[in-house]
Amino acid sequence: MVWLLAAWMASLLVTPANAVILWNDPDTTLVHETGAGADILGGAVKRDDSANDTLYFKFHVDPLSDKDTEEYSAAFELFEGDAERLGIGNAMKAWAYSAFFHADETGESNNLAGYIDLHTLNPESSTGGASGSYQYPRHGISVTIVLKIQYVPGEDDLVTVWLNPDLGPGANEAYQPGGLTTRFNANASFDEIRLRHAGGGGGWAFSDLAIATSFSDFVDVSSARISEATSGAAGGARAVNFQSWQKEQGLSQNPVRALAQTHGGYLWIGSDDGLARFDGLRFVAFGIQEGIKGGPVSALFEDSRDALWIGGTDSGLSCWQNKQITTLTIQDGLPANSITALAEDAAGRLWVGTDAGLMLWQNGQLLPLNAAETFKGQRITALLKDRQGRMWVGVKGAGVFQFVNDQFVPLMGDSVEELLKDSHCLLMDQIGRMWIGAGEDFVLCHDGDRWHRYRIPRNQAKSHVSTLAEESDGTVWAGSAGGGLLQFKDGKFVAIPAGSGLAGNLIESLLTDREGRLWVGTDAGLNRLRRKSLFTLSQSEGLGFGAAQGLAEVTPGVVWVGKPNDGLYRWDGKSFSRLSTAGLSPHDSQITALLVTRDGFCWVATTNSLLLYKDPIAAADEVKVIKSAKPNIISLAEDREGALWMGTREGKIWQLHENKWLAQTNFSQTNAITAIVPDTDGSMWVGTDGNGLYRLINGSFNHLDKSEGLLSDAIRTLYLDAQGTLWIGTADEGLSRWRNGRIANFTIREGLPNNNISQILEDDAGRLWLGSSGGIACVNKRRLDELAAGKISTVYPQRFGRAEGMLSEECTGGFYPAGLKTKSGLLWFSTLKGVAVVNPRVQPTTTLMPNTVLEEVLVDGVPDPLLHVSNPKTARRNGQLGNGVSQLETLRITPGKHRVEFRYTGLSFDAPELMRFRYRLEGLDTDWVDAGTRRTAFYSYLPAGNYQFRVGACNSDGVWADSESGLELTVLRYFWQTWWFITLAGLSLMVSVGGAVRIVEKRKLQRRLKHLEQERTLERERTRIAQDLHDEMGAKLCRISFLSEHARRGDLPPNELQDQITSISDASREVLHSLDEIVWAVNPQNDTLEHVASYIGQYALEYFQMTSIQCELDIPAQLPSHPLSSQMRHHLFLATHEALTNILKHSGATRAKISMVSGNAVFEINISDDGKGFNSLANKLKSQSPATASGDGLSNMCQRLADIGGHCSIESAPGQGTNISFVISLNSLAKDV
Amino acid sequence: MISVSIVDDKKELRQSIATFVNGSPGFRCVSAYSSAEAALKGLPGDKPDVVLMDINLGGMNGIECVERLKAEVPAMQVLMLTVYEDTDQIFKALAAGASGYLLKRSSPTKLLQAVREVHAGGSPMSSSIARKVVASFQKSKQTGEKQTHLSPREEMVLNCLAKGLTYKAIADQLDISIDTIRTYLRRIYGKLHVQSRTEAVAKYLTQ
Repeated sequence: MVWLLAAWMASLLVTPANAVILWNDPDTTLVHETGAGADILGGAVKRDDSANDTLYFKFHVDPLSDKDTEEYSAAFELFEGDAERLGIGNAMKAWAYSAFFHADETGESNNLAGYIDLHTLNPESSTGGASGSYQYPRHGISVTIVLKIQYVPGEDDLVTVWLNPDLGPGANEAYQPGGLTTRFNANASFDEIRLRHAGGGGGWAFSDLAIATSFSDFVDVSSARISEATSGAAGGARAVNFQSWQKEQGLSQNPVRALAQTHGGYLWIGSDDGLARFDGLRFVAFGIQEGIKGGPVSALFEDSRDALWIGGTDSGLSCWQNKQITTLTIQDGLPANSITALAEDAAGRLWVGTDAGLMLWQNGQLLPLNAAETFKGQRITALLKDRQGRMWVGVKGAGVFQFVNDQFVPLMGDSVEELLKDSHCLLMDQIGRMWIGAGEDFVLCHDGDRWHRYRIPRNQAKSHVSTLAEESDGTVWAGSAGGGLLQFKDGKFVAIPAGSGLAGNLIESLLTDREGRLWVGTDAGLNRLRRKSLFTLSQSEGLGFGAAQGLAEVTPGVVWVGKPNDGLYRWDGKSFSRLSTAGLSPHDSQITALLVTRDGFCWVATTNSLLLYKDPIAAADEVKVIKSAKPNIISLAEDREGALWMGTREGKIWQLHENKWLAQTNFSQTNAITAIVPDTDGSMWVGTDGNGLYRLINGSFNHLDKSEGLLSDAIRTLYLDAQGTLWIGTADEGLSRWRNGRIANFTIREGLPNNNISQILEDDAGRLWLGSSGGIACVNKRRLDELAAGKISTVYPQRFGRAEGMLSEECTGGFYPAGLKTKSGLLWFSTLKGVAVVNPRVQPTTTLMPNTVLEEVLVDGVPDPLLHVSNPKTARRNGQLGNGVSQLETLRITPGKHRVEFRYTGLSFDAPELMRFRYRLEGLDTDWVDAGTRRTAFYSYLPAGNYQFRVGACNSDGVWADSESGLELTVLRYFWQTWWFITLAGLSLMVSVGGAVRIVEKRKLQRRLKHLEQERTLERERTRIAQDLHDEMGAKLCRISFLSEHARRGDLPPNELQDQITSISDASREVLHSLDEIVWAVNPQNDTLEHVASYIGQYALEYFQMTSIQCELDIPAQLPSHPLSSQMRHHLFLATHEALTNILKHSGATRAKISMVSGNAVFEINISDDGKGFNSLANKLKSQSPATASGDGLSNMCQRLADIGGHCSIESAPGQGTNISFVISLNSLAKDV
Repeated sequence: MISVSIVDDKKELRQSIATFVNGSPGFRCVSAYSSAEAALKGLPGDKPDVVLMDINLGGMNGIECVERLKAEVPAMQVLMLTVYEDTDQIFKALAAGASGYLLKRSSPTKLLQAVREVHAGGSPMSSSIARKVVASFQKSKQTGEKQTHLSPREEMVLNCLAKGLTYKAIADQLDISIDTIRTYLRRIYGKLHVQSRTEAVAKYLTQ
């Protein structure tokens, strides 16, 4: 029976999973002079006399009163109805923490009969009267009390009280030091719990109240919860640190007075001299240039119409909307120029709080609020619109008011009246609690109808809380003017110490951005809260030097770490302690692998032996050395039946089942067994360092290696996930994935930071965490699936290395199990320098989709006024473009070659330097251009046309936002690029070509015509020559023929014969003459005037040679070399011949003269004789009649001359000789034939 | 007895002229050639008093033949025969060294007369030729070569000839004898010849 109970208790110890918290209240409640008190349970839990289970109670107390200085009583008290049952706290008459109760059920008075001082490990000194082993409640020293009540039906219940028990990870009630344990019996039935205080002093602050069914419910299970900001915590790591921006990082002025985030995502910073706007990387300052008045900014607010309101300490209120700034001052109706607070109510009215009262602004006008008349002249300290849309106002000297039904209703609170009159800031949190920074160093919290009062720790004279904010996870923060930043935690405000990176201690503004993070504006710069996700545990935590290897969580919160040359260490949540490995020889302490099996045992493999710890939680010094173990075991695993599998460095696999060693005989290879993983179907996966992967099914092994697609045969580690996919980490080749017989591979090329993967863990969000020799990488399994399917080409895993805090980036491997995921979800990686612990929940899986903003467009280096840094284009969803202020405008660019540069940014503050962008100019780019982290798109030349520029950003998970920012632009064309010009040019070109063709054709035609004409002329000439030949010579030759015939007659008398022959001779000579002339006329070489003159002159001389007429020539020595056609020569010659014949036959002259004259474009031949002459006039008349004898030589002459375009004139008078003149014009076309 | 050679490429004409010459008292035809080449080979050996040469011969023409002949046998008198009165050709022949020219259609008597005259040292010149010669010399005057200049008397004779005056008329006019005229003419021809040679050489050199 006892054994059963012990077993049951043991099981409780080992498996605390069925523990349940029945009720809790983590808030702080201040009790002071409560009288009988009020129930805080509300019926959630009750026990009566018939109960027989066990309940555990816990509460935390921070006494505001000192027992030494004030006499009082305060307690956490169980009541049954109105009867007090059990109270834990401080009895009136007691000095120390005590418990008081009634031993029976009779209702006694409030003044307790008996009390027991509680045992404590921090007893007081023996001064002051009380005995030495008890603890006095002291102001400023808080305690935790855990109370266990084992209900016994019908009797007094067993009560155990622990004062400040060890609630660290791994703690349990059995091992609490007796020095803080107090046991007694009492009736602990209850149906109410009241917190009470009576007497002097300030009361007690109770917090963190809870009722549970097990001690372990109160135990802290987050095994690497590095203690936070409180002093005295072991371990140097901090859970929070800050990103900091000061002047060096671009912040124009260090004091940050006001913060605001506008709808687009920009962070606006009000400083002492204007505004700055921050997008995560770049600060852009706005000031007088934009029209903002100088002077310190005290308030910033964006209203629902996207206008930014800027309140100054003495410059009034400015509104910045649509590139325009309007300023309101006292002249415009403001009560004062010093603006203290801004808010917008549900009706869209802007509430303006000033130093001298409250004003409203609506539709461009300042309106007074009737109800606010009472506040005239008073300083408005805070304005708030709560989640229900109600307005709250803090007024100095008057209190905090809620605006309900057009009335200001003050907030009431007995204990806090005075403080409310001195409020500084207001905050309503997610749960609905109203936080008020008030007084010198208080923060009030109004929860429902209860007031809590918290004092902030301070180290300076004045440090009131000036601002309050709440992070998205519910953490409430307070900023104090002089005391730095405070976090509300565990029921009190805790200061963030120096060293976490906070720029300054004077905090004027706090802001929670849309990504949920806290921004802190201090007097020395800007900060943003950063949650660390990676911590290192090493020498400073007590782990000593050197590498860590095996890891095992023996109980939630307690982790054992095996270090090869150093031994075994135990982590309890705060520090490491070295475990004794009794029975091990010193040179045997090469600890390689650790494994905790389902039965709770912890197996430790060393070089030569195997250690078994049967009770690692409680009895860590009881170890059984299993000597019959095989040497060099480096991997351990437990199969479904509970048998232990071991793999050695020599490549052997052993099983330990029911104390029997079994060897796997049909498995022979000599490479080290680096991993053994049991599959759900009972098969075992075995990874080797050089021989690939084996799967043992039903006694036989299937082999998978490089030849079948595996990345490498050198396997470092294996991980089987819940979907049955086996992930294989290889040495220097990357990650392989085996799923249903198919293998996919991932290497550096696909984005993995390192190819040597020795530890694989998975978090609760489906991400794989890979420990490699180059740090830790976190990649979403879904991204890997997409990569394997070919949908994406690269993954962008989050990387953790030295920059994130790792002491050594090299994770150790070659043993199994490698890496550890604790019950609380933390991931432990063993490295060459200790252990790196990652909290995956700090890395959100999907970050906010960053908003892309197109800030500037530069054309040839000059910003275009359409889009200005102060008026950027933010994105709209679903691919629509535009900005919030003005509609789509098209940017027009003048024609010609221009460089166009687009400057854009993405608004996200989590890791802006890692934000990646893609852009595309539709009309030029065929696809998205991956810009990486670059925030500029540059185009060196845009041809004329219409374009649309779009840019989008992607978050850290690699998912592209579906909203993009963009701009339409048109590059105008030069007039010669426009369509109408081009068509016109084309047409004119065609026309001109056609025209040219026509002209060419025409010329050709003309030439042909001329050619034809020439040919015709030639033909005519030839005809003439033929005719002449026929006429002239034919006749003459005929005559010769006749004469010769006649002469041949034999019967002619001699002198007749002589005559005949003479005639023949003469006639032949004549023929020769004719021929001579014809040839001469035709010969082109004789075509000049000179030739004609010479020929005619010679002919005339010869003609008259044998006659009695003396011939004289008068030809000019030089004649112009004017060409004469053969026709002209011919006719001229023949005309001359006629004239000569006339002179010879008819004139009877003795002298003849041929003279020629040329000049004035005419050529004249004069033939004169001194003969008898004739009546030329009468002849002329006669010659005009057509019917003249053909033998009339004169008319022939004239005809010839007329034929050649010349003129013939005959002058003669009887007895005075004759003068014939031929005149031809030299201009007449006389072309050579 | 005047020895005559005939160079003509027409067989019938050659034979007719040869017969006629042989038939005339005081004349004898010593050789007849059909081509300039043959004539150049044979004429230096024949040494006739007068050569009757056709201008148009197959192969080398008569003008060139005259030139070569005169280079070899400067004393040989050549009378150019031509069917047509092509003054250019005639002028060239004269410039090449021919002593005169004759139309083939001239009467036989005239032919013999011309032969006699040439043999006697005369150089018959017609008016058209004279004009050409005048022009030629005027041209050479411009180039300024002394040897080819005409003397004033020569010029006068030439001009009268160009006018068409007979020798007798010129003799009357200039008060000189016909013999003097002939001498003048001979000299003119000589100068012409030189001039033409000079020209040819110059042409050759410049070419």
